[in-house]
Amino acid sequence: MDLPLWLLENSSGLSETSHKSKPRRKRGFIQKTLSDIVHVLRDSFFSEELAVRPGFLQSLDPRIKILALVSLLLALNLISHLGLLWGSYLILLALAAGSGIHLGSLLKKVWLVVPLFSGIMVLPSVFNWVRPGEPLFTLFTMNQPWSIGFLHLPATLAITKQGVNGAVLLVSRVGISVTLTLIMTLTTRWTDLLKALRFFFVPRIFVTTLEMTYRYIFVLITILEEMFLARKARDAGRSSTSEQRGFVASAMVALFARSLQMSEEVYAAMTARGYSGEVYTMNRFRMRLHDWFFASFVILCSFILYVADKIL
Amino acid sequence: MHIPDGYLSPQTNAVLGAASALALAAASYKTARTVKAKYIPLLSIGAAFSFTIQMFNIPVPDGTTAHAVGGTLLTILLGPWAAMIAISVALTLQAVFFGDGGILALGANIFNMGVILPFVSYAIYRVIAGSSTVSSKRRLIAAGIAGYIGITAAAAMAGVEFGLQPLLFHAADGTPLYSPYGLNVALPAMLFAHLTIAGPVEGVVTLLAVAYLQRTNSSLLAANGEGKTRSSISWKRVAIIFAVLVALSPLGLLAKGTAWGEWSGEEIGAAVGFIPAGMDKFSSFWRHSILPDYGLSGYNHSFWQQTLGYLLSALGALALIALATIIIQRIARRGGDRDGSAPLAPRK
Repeated sequence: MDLPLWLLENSSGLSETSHKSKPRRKRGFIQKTLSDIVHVLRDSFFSEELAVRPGFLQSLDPRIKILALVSLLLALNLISHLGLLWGSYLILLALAAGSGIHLGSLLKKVWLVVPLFSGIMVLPSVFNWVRPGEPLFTLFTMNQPWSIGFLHLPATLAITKQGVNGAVLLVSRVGISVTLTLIMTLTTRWTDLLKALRFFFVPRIFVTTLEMTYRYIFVLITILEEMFLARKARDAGRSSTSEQRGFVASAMVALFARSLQMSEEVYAAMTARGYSGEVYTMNRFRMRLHDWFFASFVILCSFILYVADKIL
Repeated sequence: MHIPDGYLSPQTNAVLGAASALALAAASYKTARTVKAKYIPLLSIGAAFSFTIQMFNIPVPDGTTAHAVGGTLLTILLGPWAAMIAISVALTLQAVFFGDGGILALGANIFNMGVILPFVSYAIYRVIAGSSTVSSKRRLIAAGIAGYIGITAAAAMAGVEFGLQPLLFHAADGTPLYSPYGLNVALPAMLFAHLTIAGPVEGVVTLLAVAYLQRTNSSLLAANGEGKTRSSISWKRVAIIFAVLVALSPLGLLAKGTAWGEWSGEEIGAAVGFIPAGMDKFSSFWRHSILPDYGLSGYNHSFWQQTLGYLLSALGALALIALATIIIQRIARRGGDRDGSAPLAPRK
């Protein structure tokens, strides 16, 4: 898929002028939606490009990668020893680097986002007012315990040991899980990944729907992009928020009407090609020796992580 | 509301995943019966629509924007069963390719947004809309309220899931292993955010979309539901009961005491005043169960150490075999350039 260059950069059109006069309203809903669209397209584009490059992870059978992803995720989410978690993280990073993933951007992608959301979410829980625990570091002590209505606060505000441990554990786990998922999906062609699902518990009809959905997401996103670009082109002056909301709601329905029409057309096209409700697919995967090795390796490692966590 | 991996324990995910799988199986069965061969293209494009709808930035009064899930709109347009599949497919793609929501947590996310949301929305929409005409104001209000409550119900479910984590999973010293907030914090927090911002956004967008449909394309509104629901009135009630049960079921875990009917001899003795003779006799008989109180006996420290020893030696052996194989392959390839593990170009 070719991504036009102008789509990659933020345009300095209407949005810039309006943001000088009103600094809070940096980008309007049109610009935001358009840049979201660009993100989706860019993500899929770069991932596809990375997935066809030569590399160790790219060479593995997608089925093995799904197996590895699930078993490692399970192990990493079941264990709670920080050393083990971060040890496996380093191994993962090495594997990613060996497969041509740019470590800098991978780290940035994960660790700029995860602490921002999960970190802030978990922050209040380190204080003893929210979650009681052994004090690690006392911030201040008041003369007497506080009590407003049903709210009773102890006299000292402290950071608790349990709170900090729990917060570190949560953020680590979220970040490491996201990294693992990213590494696996970045090194696999998306269509292969979806096809590989069929070999697991996922029913064929669900996989076929997934595959078709994946294809039509891009069609619908293109329609959406055209709608918003057209609106942007016609946008002059400032419109009221309620008018903008009205536009979004109408755009949604218009998109739905077009989707429905498209589904009729696609169905007609499928019927014309012999579709009668049954989907036949070809299996083009082949397990190689190193797939078997990698699979047994990963499963053993998952068990080792789990057992080692029990001991440590 | 997309829960990432690490917030919920794998055990919770497994339970919710199983529930979602069952619900999806029911949905596939229902949808396959009603739309037959058109099923796949309709659902695929419905799912693609569900994915795309979440990319809309919706202007809110303070000048910023918010996202809508669009689940209620989809439910009104496609009916709850088809909407369930479409939302689940969209959630799967988001989790796998865009990092929105975890892979293990996919079951939980499908349960909240793909099962609870459409069913609660649909029940409310049907109840309020009643037998009003397609172009009535009542429909509009029904759609708005259904959107508002549907997404709030999904958020409340997520709040319950978060809130159960510290109760069920914590280290011996009280360190929370997953999401740290108990129900008293997690549930109000999720509810507050959705009652004040996300809920109104969803409600208003759903309402406006239905208003637009009434003006321009009311056949889409009438296409789903009408005839179907009138022929089977009871199912509306079933949906409501189902939704209430689902919302309440996790509370059972919080209730003090033993599950009803699972009393031990002593508990019966305390409650009734005597222990039935038969129970007294059999309670000693059952004492030799394999899983007393569900904890496996004999799984102590030395057992795990032994296991680790075995596993590590297996890993060593595997590494040796792999190494030997690679060397042999290299030598063999030097002889005759065979396929082996040649650098892998894109598979054809």
